[in-house]
Amino acid sequence: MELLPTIWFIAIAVLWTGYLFLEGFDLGVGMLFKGFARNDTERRVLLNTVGPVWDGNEVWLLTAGGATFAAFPLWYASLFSALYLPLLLVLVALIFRAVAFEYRGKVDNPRWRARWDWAISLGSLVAAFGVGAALALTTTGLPLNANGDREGGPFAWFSAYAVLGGLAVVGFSLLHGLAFLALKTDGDVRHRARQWFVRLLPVLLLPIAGWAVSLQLLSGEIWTVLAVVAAVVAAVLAWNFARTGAEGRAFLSLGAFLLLGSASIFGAAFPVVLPSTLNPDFNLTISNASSSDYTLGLMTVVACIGLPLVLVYQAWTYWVFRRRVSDAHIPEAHSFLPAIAAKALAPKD
Amino acid sequence: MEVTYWGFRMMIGFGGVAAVAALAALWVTRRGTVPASRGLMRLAVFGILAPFGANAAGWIFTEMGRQPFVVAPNPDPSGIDQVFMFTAAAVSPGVSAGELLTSLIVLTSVYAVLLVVEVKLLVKYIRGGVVAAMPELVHVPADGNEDATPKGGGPGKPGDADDVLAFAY
Repeated sequence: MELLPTIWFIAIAVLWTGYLFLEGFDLGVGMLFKGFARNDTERRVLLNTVGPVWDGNEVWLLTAGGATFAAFPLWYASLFSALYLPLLLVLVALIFRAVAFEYRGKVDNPRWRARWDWAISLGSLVAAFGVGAALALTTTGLPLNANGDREGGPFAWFSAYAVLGGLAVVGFSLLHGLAFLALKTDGDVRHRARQWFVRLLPVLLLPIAGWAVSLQLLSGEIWTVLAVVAAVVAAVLAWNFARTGAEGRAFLSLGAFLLLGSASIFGAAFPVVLPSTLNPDFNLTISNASSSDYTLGLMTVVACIGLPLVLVYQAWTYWVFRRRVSDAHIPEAHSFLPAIAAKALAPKD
Repeated sequence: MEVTYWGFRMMIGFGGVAAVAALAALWVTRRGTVPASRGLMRLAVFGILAPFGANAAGWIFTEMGRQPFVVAPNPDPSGIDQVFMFTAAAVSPGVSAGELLTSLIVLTSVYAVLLVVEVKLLVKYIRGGVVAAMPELVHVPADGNEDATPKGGGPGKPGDADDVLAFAY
């Protein structure tokens, strides 16, 4: 067994898990802009819970993609080329979501805000679905030929697994967003989030459980099946903690569910990184898709220095913004009109 | 050759202009006041373009300068290796021209839409004056007239013990 490619396979699995744990809740909170939030103040409460942290969370997606590019260039090339159009859609969704966060409050006008609210919720939904579909397909396979190129045209990736994976990440993100809101807000939003969490947990976790179980049927091992069982236990714990009002523990239990579920999925897929649905001989594995040991060794050194730094400053961000946000913390909306400026700049006596 | 020659000089030139403008702005606002000169303000608005000019020129310079390679080879080819990564060989064989065209059109349209929104917002904020961008510069009169502060008061005010957000969206 090759040591360095295995280490980097685990590292990439960890990066994806970290991404889903962190951005999972901000994608979920974004989706909850429609349907959950009842008025503009509530939407601003939602926005301010993720406002200081969402962009830091999104960097984990870049890091996961970047680590794949550097450690397994053939995996990256086949996956990203085969999924060219869906990943373009994810990119557009992420662009609109990101600018919507900033633009939404720049004009004090309900129509303006409504437009960017749609950008936030739809952008979050499409991004979560697309990332989930791509992740599911990298575990279940794409129609790749001997050269690692996609056969069958721009939409050859479309399959039931793509839909299942998309729904899996959308469902998980929604639930994680509810858990985060219950932990991070106060007042009506907090209680409603907890209520929704308890009520919706079984439905929202069904697709991700379906993905994990179907992968066990395809290529599971004893320890990965045990991880699925442990993940179900963690989900039940999360449900019970939320029901009794222990919001912090509910959030952490859902995190444990993700960690175990992700371990069961990546563990079952190992050592294949991207199967070919045309011929198992064309499968990309950690041995035939990885960079040289020299590259991987260098990357290991850089990661050992960089990762602790990232974890420290990201933890610090959450510490700075650790307080709960509620309606009372949202200042009134204000419009920057030249009249206000003129009044304020008038000579003071 | 002309493109890379002038591209590099434009990148450095615009970058230098932006740096000088930033230093000048620091100098004229050193007392925490805003200069009243109209000419200087007009120049400051044009200053917004300088970093964009440097950025665009720099990208065109690198992207055109490295052709026909997708990654430029070692300056001394007899040195470490004999690897030449030509752009023509780097094209993904599995991605169709239609997909590339789609992404080009989609991304250009997205940036065009965002350019319109961004410029409209910039114009709005410039018209609103300095206070529009930095409401914290406004001093609340001592008689407690809360209307004078565009932040609206309430528990979200800076310095309030209950202020959990340094900046509210």
